[in-house]
Amino acid sequence: MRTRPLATCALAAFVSLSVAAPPPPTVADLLAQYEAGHYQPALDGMRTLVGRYESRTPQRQRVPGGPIFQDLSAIAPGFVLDHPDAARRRLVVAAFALDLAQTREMDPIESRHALVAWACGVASQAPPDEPLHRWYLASVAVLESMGAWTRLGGGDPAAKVPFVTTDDEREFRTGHLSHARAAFPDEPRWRLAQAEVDEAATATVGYGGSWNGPDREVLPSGTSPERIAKVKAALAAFEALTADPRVAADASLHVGYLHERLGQWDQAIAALEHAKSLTHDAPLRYDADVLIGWAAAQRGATDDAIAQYRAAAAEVPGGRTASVLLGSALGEAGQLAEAATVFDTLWHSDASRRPVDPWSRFADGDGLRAAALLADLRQGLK
Amino acid sequence: MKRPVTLVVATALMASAAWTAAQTPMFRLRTDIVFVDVSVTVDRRPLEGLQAEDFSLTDNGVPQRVDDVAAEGMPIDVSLLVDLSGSVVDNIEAFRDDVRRFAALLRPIDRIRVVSFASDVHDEAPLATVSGPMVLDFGHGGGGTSLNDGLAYAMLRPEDPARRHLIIVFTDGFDTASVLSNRRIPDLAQHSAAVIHAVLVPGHASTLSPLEPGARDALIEAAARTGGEAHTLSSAFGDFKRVFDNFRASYVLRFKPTGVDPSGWHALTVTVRGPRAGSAVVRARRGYFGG
Repeated sequence: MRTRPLATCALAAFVSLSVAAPPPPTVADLLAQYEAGHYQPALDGMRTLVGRYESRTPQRQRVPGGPIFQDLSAIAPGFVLDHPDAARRRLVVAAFALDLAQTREMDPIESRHALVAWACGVASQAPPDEPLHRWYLASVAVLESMGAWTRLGGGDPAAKVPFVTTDDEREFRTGHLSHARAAFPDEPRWRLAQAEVDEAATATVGYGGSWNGPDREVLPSGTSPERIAKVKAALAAFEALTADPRVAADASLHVGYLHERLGQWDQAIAALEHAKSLTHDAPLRYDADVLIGWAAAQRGATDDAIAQYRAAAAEVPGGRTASVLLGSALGEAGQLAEAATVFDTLWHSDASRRPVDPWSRFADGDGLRAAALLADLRQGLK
Repeated sequence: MKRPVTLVVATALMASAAWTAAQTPMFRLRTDIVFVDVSVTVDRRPLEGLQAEDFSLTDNGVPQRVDDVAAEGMPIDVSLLVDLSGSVVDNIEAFRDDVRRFAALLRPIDRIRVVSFASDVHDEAPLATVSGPMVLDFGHGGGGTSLNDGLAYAMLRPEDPARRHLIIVFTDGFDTASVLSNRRIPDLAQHSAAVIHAVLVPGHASTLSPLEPGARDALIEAAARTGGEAHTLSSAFGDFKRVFDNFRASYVLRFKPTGVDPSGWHALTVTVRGPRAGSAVVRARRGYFGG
């Protein structure tokens, strides 16, 4: 009778051993995969890594940066130094940190900021070549996607911020864009990003995050002259950029919206039409069509608004802003059957398969392109 | 509400048939007929038994003759719009039962549709008559609140002239994720034939942002413009039932506008004549858009 339980235990132990999952990857494992060009497994692993590492520390004891950051910063010197391919490896580590910062589970947000700042310190010692250029383009986009305007443009010196590292503090004091500019002074996207930082500072509700329709940031009557002056200054910064063909389309789009915020419909439509004429980029054209339609609606030209919203919906089928504004405009025009069809099509679609609505990310600048720019960066590291 | 003049005659004939079944025999071959939902209460109880001659109605200030009054016989479409964001619905199971019990009260001629909203908007149950326990998921909660977008979805639908449309919105009245701004909602409500009632759940101050309080005000204003009103939650089932019972006991006035420009906005006023006029509270939509 006694042998049976023993045998059962032994069998259970054997089964347990034979089916035991491999140990979960560490930061070092994932960095090695990343360096070898096995990006997808490394990116998948990052998502599991975050939960495991963060759960090691009680919530109240967590510090910005956390154990992942500590591990990565401890591994990095050995990974880079004294290696014949040190320059490339430096960017590999910096790119890895950017991807890690983009992992949404990497909370709190201060941890993500600190990672980018640390990575900037690592990357900035690389030669100013194309891979580093790609790194800066991606890093600016990552910070924009987080709405990290003070990290990009530099924060208030008097602000009390719990800095994680000296890199973190340096980034906050001087602004990430200043480092990008130092490495690549002629890149116009830094000036575009700076204008977006300035534009964000003029917001009522807050640029970034959840984003409503175009009227959310229109200046109400009674707006202070100081605030109007700030909006006009942001407008002037974007207008200056429209002369550079490399960023003219983006700049014109922002010029159009800033005119709308000031209630200047004719100038807005002219700028937005110009933006559309400069690019085939569907998200940008979508935003321009949405904003032209919205300007038309403010002037009571409902039929024109409907036409523009339809054009936007053709650029990015399933885009929520265009669909909702189109359905509403059709309703106002008494075309209720078509309004219902538009709404049904939108809300009956699977939200997880719906395209990212470009307007919802308008304020993020290149943040909408962060994933693509990170992919470019990885491609350049191979 | 005015059925748009673009409605085809066949639709009008269909409406006529339904009206005929419920009320006195008549034929309508023209579509420029206006229907107005009117609630008349005394001490918050429906005042029943009123006839066409008991109402006084003006269209853009011009007195109109109320041709007929329909009441309980007309079929009703109910759109139940449910806020699944945050902690509006504390107990999904209990709320699901409340909705099912409410749906079971509807008559065979009535229909119900259930729409939920959080970050997104979902059809929980398509518009249909109730033929058994409703299958309700309510599994799309959490995240942001798209009250305004959900309301537009429920409001802006083609009318069936033979039916009345009641929208009951169950929400704390905050909006954080809609494309449509708060200020658009009352205006859009004027393009809908539906009557909106809001059952408002007390909100949580910690969720307030500069945008959010305005959404509650916009919803209340939208309800008022359609002839509905806002109610503070006491119990979901009880509130839904009370709103529906009162709506069913309200009137639909029919008139053919005369002496007014058919196009543009038509401001309406409706009052009750006679000895009960002083104590009666009359709610009607504030106007309609002409063709």
